[in-house]
Amino acid sequence: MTFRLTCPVCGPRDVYEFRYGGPERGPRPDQEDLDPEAHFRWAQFRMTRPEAQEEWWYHAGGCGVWFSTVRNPATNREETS
Amino acid sequence: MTRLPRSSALRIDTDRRLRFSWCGSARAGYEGDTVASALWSSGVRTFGRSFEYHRPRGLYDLEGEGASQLVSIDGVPNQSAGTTLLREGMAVAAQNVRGDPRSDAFGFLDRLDRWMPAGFYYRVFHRPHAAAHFVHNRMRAMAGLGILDVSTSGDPGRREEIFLNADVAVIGGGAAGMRAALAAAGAGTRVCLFERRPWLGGHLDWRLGLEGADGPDSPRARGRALAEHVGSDARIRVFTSAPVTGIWGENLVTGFQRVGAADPFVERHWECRARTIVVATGALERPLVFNHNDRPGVMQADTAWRLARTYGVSPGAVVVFSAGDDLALEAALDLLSLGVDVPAIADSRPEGQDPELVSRIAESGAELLTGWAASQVVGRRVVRGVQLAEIGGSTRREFPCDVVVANAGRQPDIGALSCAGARFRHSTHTGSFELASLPSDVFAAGRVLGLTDSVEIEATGTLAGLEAASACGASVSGTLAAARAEVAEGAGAPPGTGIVRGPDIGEGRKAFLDYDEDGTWKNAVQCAALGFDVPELAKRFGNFGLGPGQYRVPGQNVAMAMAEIEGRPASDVASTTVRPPIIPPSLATLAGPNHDVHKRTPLHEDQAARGGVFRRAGAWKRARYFSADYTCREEIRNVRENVGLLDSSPLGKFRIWGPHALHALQRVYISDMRKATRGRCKYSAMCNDTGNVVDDGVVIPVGEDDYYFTTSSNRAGSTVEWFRYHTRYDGWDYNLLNLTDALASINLAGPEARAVLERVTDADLSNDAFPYLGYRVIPVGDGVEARCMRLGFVGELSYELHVGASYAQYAWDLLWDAGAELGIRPFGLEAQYCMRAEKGHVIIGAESEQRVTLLDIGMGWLWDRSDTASKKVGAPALRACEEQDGRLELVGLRIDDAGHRPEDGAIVVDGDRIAGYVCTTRVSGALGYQYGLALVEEGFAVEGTTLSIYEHLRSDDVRTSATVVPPHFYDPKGERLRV
Amino acid sequence: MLVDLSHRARWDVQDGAIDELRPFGVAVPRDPGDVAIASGLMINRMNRTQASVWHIGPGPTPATPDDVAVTDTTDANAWIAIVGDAVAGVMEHVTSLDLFEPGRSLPRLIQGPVLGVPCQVVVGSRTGALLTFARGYAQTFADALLDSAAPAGLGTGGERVFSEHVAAMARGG
Repeated sequence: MTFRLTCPVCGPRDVYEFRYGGPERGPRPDQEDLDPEAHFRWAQFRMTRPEAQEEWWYHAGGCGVWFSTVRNPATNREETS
Repeated sequence: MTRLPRSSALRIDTDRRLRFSWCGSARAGYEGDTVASALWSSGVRTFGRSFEYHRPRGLYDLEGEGASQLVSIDGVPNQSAGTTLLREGMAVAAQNVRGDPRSDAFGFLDRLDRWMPAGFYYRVFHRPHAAAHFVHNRMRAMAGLGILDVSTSGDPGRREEIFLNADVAVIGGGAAGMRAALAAAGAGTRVCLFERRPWLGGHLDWRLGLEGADGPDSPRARGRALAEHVGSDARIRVFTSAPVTGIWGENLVTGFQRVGAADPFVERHWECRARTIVVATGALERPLVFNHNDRPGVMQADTAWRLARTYGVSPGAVVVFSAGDDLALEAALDLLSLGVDVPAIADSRPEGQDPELVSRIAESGAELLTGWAASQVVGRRVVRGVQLAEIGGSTRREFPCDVVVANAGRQPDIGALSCAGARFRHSTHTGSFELASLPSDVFAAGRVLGLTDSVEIEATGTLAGLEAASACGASVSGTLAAARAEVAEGAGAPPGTGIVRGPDIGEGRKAFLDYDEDGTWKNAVQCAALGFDVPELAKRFGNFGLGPGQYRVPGQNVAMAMAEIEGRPASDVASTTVRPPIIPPSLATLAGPNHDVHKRTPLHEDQAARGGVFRRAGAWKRARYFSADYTCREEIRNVRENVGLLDSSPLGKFRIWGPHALHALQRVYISDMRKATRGRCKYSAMCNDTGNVVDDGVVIPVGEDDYYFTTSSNRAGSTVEWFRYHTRYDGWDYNLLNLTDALASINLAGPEARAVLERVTDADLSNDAFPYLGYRVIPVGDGVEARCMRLGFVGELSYELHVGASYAQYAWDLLWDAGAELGIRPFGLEAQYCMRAEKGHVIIGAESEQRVTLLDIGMGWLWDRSDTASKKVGAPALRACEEQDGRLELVGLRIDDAGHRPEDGAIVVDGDRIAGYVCTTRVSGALGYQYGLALVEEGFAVEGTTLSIYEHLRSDDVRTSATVVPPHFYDPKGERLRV
Repeated sequence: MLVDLSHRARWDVQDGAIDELRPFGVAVPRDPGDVAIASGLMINRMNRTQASVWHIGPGPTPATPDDVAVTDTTDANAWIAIVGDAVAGVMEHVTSLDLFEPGRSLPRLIQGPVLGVPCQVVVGSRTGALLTFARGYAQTFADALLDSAAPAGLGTGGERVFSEHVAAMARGG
């Protein structure tokens, strides 16, 4: 199990250089009158399907940049849509 | 031990004799011999005993294709005799037997096979349960291969690793592989070629042409010529003695390489990240399954051939063949030309032999029996003869001999292909499983495609190399089209019979499908009868292919056998999957050089010289104790009464600045960071989205939109990540710099701390000028700038000095000298841990974990509830948890029992229910009693409650009781901090 | 040869508008990975807002400018040079980074792990590479590097080896 990710600064690197930041879920919701249930769903719920999804990754072993990319967990390959 | 006449293929040096021992008796061989060839030439025929039945086993192959030829060398078990070069003084011993394997006390097990059907250990000896335990242990003691004795196995030797990058990785250095490498390099790509044998050329190495002509047109000569081309091409990096162990995601190829002639066990781990892969791993012999086909003396065609040509050893006095392809016939002819007696050659193919080979066999006087195959070996301990039988007929003939060469034809070596994601399907034309599909960046060439014609083999190699280069972007359209055309002209793979078992083997009680685990044809029938009929199931239940041989000896036979037993066409079944490691590397190689790369503070050596006992703390090594007393009584007492020095350099230290620096601080910290003022340490915590505390530290403004802040040591490496993650949508303009390593941090703590510091600085340290929680930049010694904070983690008057790392030793020495008369001593992390616990200061991970929020651990006072605009991380969770029932709460404990002190992690019980747990307990010298911090259900968190603590220690149930008290024991009002 | 350059000055330059800055009077390269050399300084563009500046010499160490974007990081990391004929062979033992990928112009900055430690690696040429990494790792990193790369011929050298290499780079060698 070793796949590659493309860092926007450094180019393609082994996945071990990166840390996973979860799937794309949009910006943090406003907290004024925030329904706790809504916040919990935003923070915790994940739907994982065997199809391409947008994900956040951090280049911990390299330039230290956060980026999002589209990757298919079924093949572990990045997909350029 | 006479050797056969010399030829150019010989790889031994008869002038250099090497002595070794076999099961204690002295033997000899030559330089260039492998352990296997040296043993064979010295007359050894029985190499060991089999796993289950303890049957005698001999030399079947020379490539480590199974467990039969695994021996122990110099105390190291499971070494492959066929691939390990002989060295002077080696002590070689057989495995799974005591002493010489020709006789074995457990040999009687062979007759008990009726009571050991397939999977018997899953199904018997279960009742009574106690007996099962005893029986299984006895069985384990009897079965098994080598013994590892760490006291005698010695130093594994130097291990190395290299990491390669290439456009094209070619796996296999035979004719096809070499052609692929040359074509790819010629197209301008970076090529790495990996060959598992010590030489390039594959099996061309010992093929000297018909009747051993050894002329300039022989296969060997052609192989040598190609090898020279490859060797002189600077664009191809060649790695010999370098087997591939696996192919992983996106064409990462791994393997190991034996280096160092002086020490054959020295290995190097290699990895190659390639854009494309060409697999040219060739073909293996597919075994024929017949009765007693495991007897010492039964061997592959290549084994007999190489013993004769590579090592100059006659395989036997009389050799009978049961062949399945033309290469075996060629081998027989070569042995005949060397004077070996080959009375009969059975060929399972009824027709289709190369006419040239047929006529030369006729001239030699050997009898060729087409449509015949081996049925049964004669001989109890070694081969004494073999019965050949007509396939589908009733004729049977017995030939006395001492060696039986048998195969059912060839099968592609699918190990690397399978790992690369290839799919296979059975072909009735070739009678074996062939390649059906490959991923787009993997190519195959040569015998692995089932081809046998040398021109075709090389043409597919060239084509694969060009296709790989093209996939990397090289422009080769012209030559690529020509290569495709040449391959299209080829005849393709020749037909094969697909035979698996020899004729008339009956129930096949001792006809072995897999030597490694003694899996027989009868066992396969038993598997099918029990419902384990699919090859993948039969493999696991019947143990076919689970040993070192994996896909080699049992290979495709498992799938084809199960199809035959079930009466189905082989195209209906799928061959079994091959998994890494394709060839086993040693664990020491995988461990690698085993360096411990870690972080050390600038004061590491100084503390070591002062008696510091170091422990790993995250990426760092830190001094945990300064004496043999791990309760640190003296260290603690000295801090509480005099003054101590602690190296806190791993503390996270950061600069954050820019127009939106405050915005970022407001997002990740739970407090109102606008309240941070110059000259003062603002303490706060960071929470995550579930309200747990993940970090804490102080923030100090040092300029306009410019802050200096600290974090805990363990989190320093994640701080920039955390900030940037939680602000990634905001587009804010702020900058972050990690200064953790740039500044050393020295903690000066104790009632005499001010007195010491006054001696090294002229800054005003009076309590009015520099109060508790103050921050001042002060000069120490000869003008070294120190950022100084008055904090109170351990509960005494204390100053934390941050100085440039290069000045750390200077500053430390100054303080040490200044404090000498006042009794200054170093103290370590354990002493710090105890003192902060006495103060009830939480350590994240000890008193704070995933189930407790900022509020639960009593730090809710940090939370700025009014600020929703900043969208503070964790605030919504805190709001949601505030009114929840049943949460854990942090309390202090006073242990009632002056004797036993519960350990960290002991559970708090309510009857037979868990109601919380003890985070930390210690004995306090200052307080005179045992105390602790615990997380308990809120119902138990009332002061004065008696808690019952349970531990299971060394088979005993131990109960202790404790009383809930406020979690601040030492100087609860913090007066000592504020002097 | 391995040369320790940790005493030589280094700085971090970080700003939202870094492209408009001229720290030490020198322009910052435009694209991440680009390296510029001027006035004895090597400027490495790290990402959209950040660059590292290393004093390679010759010449005296410039003073840290009074600029909020510039921070002295000399003590933050260790700095070593690998100089000699076998730089690629040495680095192959300790990193899987493709330092000498064909078609990439040199010098270039590569940020990635060496011996498992995140590093800034400036590949100058086939005969010289510079690395910085967190200061705490210095001793154990150097020990592991010298041990792993000993078969490739790595030994230790003094600063003169480095200065000669810098001079050769300036001449275009």
